[in-house]
Amino acid sequence: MVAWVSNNGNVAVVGGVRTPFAKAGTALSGTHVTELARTAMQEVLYRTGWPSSRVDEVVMGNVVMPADATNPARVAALYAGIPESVPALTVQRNCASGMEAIGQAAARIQNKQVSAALVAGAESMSTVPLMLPVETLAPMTRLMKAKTPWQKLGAIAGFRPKHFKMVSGLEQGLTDPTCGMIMGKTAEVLAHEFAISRAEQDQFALASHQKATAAIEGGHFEDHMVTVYAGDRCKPVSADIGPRANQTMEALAKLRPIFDRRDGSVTTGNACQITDGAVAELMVDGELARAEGMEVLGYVRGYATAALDPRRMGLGPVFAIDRLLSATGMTLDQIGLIEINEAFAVQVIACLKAMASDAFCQKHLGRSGAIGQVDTDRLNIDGGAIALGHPVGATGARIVLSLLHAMRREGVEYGIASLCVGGGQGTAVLLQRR
Amino acid sequence: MTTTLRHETDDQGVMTVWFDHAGRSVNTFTPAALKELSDLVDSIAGSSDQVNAVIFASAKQGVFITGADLFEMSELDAAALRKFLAMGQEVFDRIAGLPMPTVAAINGHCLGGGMELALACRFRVAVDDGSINLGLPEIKLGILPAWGGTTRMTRMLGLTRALPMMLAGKIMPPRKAMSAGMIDAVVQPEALLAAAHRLVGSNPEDRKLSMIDRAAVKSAAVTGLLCRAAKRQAIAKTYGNYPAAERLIDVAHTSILNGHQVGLDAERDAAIDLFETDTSNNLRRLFFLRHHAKKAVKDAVGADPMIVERAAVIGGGTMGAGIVHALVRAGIPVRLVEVDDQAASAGLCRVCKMLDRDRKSKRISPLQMRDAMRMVSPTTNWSGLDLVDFVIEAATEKADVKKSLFQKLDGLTRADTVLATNTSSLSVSDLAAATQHPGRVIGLHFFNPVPQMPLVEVVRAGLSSDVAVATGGSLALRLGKVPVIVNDAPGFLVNRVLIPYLAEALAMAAEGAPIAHTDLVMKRWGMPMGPYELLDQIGLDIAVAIFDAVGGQMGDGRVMPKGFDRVIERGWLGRKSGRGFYDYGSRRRIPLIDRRGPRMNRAMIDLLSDGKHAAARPSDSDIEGRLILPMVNEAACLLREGVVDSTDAIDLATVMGLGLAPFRGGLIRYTDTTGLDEIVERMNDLATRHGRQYTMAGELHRLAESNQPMQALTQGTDGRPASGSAAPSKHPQHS
Repeated sequence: MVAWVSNNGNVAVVGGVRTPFAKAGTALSGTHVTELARTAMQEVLYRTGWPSSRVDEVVMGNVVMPADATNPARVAALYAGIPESVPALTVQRNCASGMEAIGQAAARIQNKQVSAALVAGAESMSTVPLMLPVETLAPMTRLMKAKTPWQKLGAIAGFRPKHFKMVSGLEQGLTDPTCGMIMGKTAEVLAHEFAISRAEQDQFALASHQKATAAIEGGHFEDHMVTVYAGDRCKPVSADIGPRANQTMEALAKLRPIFDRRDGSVTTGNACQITDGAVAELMVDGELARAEGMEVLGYVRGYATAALDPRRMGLGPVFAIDRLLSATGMTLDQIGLIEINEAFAVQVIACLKAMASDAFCQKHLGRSGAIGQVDTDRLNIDGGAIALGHPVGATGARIVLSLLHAMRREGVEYGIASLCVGGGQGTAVLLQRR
Repeated sequence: MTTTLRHETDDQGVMTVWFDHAGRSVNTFTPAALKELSDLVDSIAGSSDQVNAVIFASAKQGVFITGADLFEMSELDAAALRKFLAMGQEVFDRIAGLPMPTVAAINGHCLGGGMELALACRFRVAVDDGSINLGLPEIKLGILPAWGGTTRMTRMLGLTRALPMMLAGKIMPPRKAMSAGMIDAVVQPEALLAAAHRLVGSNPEDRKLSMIDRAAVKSAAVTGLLCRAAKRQAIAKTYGNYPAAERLIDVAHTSILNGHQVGLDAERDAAIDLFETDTSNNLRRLFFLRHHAKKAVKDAVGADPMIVERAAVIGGGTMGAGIVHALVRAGIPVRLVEVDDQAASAGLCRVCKMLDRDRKSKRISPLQMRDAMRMVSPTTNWSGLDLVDFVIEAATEKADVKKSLFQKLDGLTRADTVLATNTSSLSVSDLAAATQHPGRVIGLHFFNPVPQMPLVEVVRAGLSSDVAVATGGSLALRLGKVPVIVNDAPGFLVNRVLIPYLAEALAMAAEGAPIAHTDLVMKRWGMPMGPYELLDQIGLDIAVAIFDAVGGQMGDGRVMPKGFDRVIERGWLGRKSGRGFYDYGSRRRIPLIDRRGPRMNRAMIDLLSDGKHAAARPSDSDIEGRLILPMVNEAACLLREGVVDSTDAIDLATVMGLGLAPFRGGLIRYTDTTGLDEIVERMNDLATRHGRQYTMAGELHRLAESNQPMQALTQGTDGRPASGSAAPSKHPQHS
């Protein structure tokens, strides 16, 4: 399945909530990913008034599945009080995992396999573990098998300093082993190829903060936010930690490129933040939702996945949106609002340039001409991951939720949400308001 | 053909004896059951070459054996009782004497006689389930473990460990029982029989007594010293009102000093003596009343309760959090509604603390504690209430606040959701009137602190439907509470009875009665604390609020002592402010029972009494009379007004809600035991000397004249105990 289409009214999203997105190492750093997901799942059922006994399946996106909860969807579902008899599945498509969950649930509803699915995306980037290198395993095993004190001493003598050199799971996770590049390096590739300046990137990042803070002040997140009571003291965490109201171009300009110190332009300021958070949405068969008189946030009309050169993974949305538009027979000018996940400012700008380029679209997509120009006023209107952060497994679900609320607010009929995916993929989903 | 047990022997020669009382949900020892066990033990002893080991197990879910059958015991005459006790001792002794290993495989509640059987076995293994209880709670019924339990426990654990447990009638979860030394192993429920088979082949571990206990076994002087100290402590705690405590210590003394057999004889004699005391009769009757609470709810309400799958609690304050805690412990998910995140956080913390206490007492595992916390879902936007079947409102005690809450709840919940208020002083009918469907509104009055207080008043307002009341009662039962159904009237039952008591105490303080002495007299009488200690505990400002809210509606024209406003102004609010009638000092944690007791706050007492403190020297019986009799009077009014319809309910509520002298069997039982004519006489006497608040309710007068007990005020029973609500036991006045 690389793209599928649904008749309107078949697959309804009837509600969604998210926890605050908190920069890693801050308020939610001690909260387990299953606990974040539990909070969002439990809340969406209360808010929609949907009995947990009527959930047919739970699908959750999560990238760094914790060692102590290897199917976090199942753990979170049971924590949330979903009956033991309801199956739960964790899906992983890196940065698009949260959207993949929506795509899979939507397909099952479309095929009448389930009539109500609880969908989630969750990530705790704070708790991605530090690891010992794989070479440590051999001396460790020898030590564990040793029986006599002499054997033990011998095994201990086998350890070398290199065996204790910690490996950051986060850094490893963000590095694509097939091309040997960390994600930021792939962004630098696009900066060079599309000749995108540092100032352009910083300007985009500043806009993200401004849009996010305006959305917070305007209360745009309030109706789909749930407070997390973190830790033993049940400390309430109710607001995003990431968007900076006082962000300036000057401050952004001061930052040094981190992935390529000499020739690079990607900084921590114009890349997404590392963040903890969870999202949950309830998706119901459209007919059933209307029969129950439920308020529908919007309908899922199609889902597309595409793949490309891992070194240029940031262009994934271009390929996915192309496929989604072709499959649904829509054109870009029909789409009122667009979300393209801000992994890096440069990567989103590159996508816009590629979509507007006749040459690119002819060469790579086999189109006769450009997909079209994306009006930046319609792009990520409530801010993106540069301000709000990117809990990798959760973001895909967040941008869909955010887009559905923005579409309602702006009176827009169609919207597309899309992400680039580490490893060289892209996903996109088409949403319809009514 | 047996009806209480069956047995099977495997190819290894291990016999498993299954207790499975036909047609019952629990196993108890009736005389017939004991006889069956006795016959079986005989046959085992006779075929000891074929049986290599015996495992005692139960086929009942969650129950091993809950002890001797009190219902059947109460029907035995003295001779039969003696025979029953002797037979139990003798059977258990024979089990202890069997040549092959014996194991008690404890799958559920193992109490009293059940525990004594387990103690007679060579090994005891129990399932790891914090919700089940093990122990010897006989003392709570005014008797003592008499099937070898007192003797075995004392000799097995030593005086210093066994006595405190038996004297408190302590029951505990398996893990706690294991650390107390009562059982050998705690295992996963599924592995119980496998563990029992494993133990059969092992050697019993040597139990090490503490140094003092080893000395006690060797030296009569040490034993005597320990027992005398225990007695002193027991008397200080019970004021000598519970004779079983002292007898138990004597029996333990004897069994250490004179050996097993003499111990058994002493046990049996003591049990027979104690069984016939008023104290034991009263305690057993309360046990039956409590036991029958479920049936009482069913009898009082002609409707089946609805099933509560999910509940909401409005307000996470002390009471609200306590109710949330009770709900999640019973496995009911809760939507907790609070005004803002901070309040919700505070509420969650309170629940967390209560759960942590359960964890520390090994009632729940750390995992179960986290699961319970996850069942609480806080909200500040009132969403999700259409998913709940039952709402308990525990918000600020203000009429307008609660009224608008109920209006709001009315629109947010399904029409069949029961709406309950935890109000203590407001009219439930008034709150119901704020809704479109008043039939589903009831009161559910919990007491503070909720985890410790067993009573819940289920308040039926004028328009409350039977289903709503039945659901409230059945929910209370599910939470492990004792429901008492009352009609909507100011103060309901417990506070209504309490107010005259406290009001009288204040009046006496104003007259210059000695404060500390009055408290002491009332504790001796059987109250858990004296009236002034209680006022300090409640908080004097709260007491005033209750007087205003309820006393005003009672309309008996009682007035506060004139200095009282100034006392409140000075911030002397009781324990919480550090000063009330007593000075609690600046220590943050104040032990409830302080050997010396806190000092009196003379400044306040002088203010209240106009400097006349201790000028009056009322006799002890006057103090008792002035404080207790107004409660009796109020109880008569409650019955006349139909707030409650049975005297049993008043007895149960006064004991469970006020802690009023359990050994006296509750307020009405006390009255009838004393004799209504004497009570009436004392009341008349007090009225002539102290004024109109002792003017007796008309019906008491009438009953006394026609020589009937107060119990006759139970509706439609003409003096006979209400059917089902009292045990088939012989009450003193009927025997």
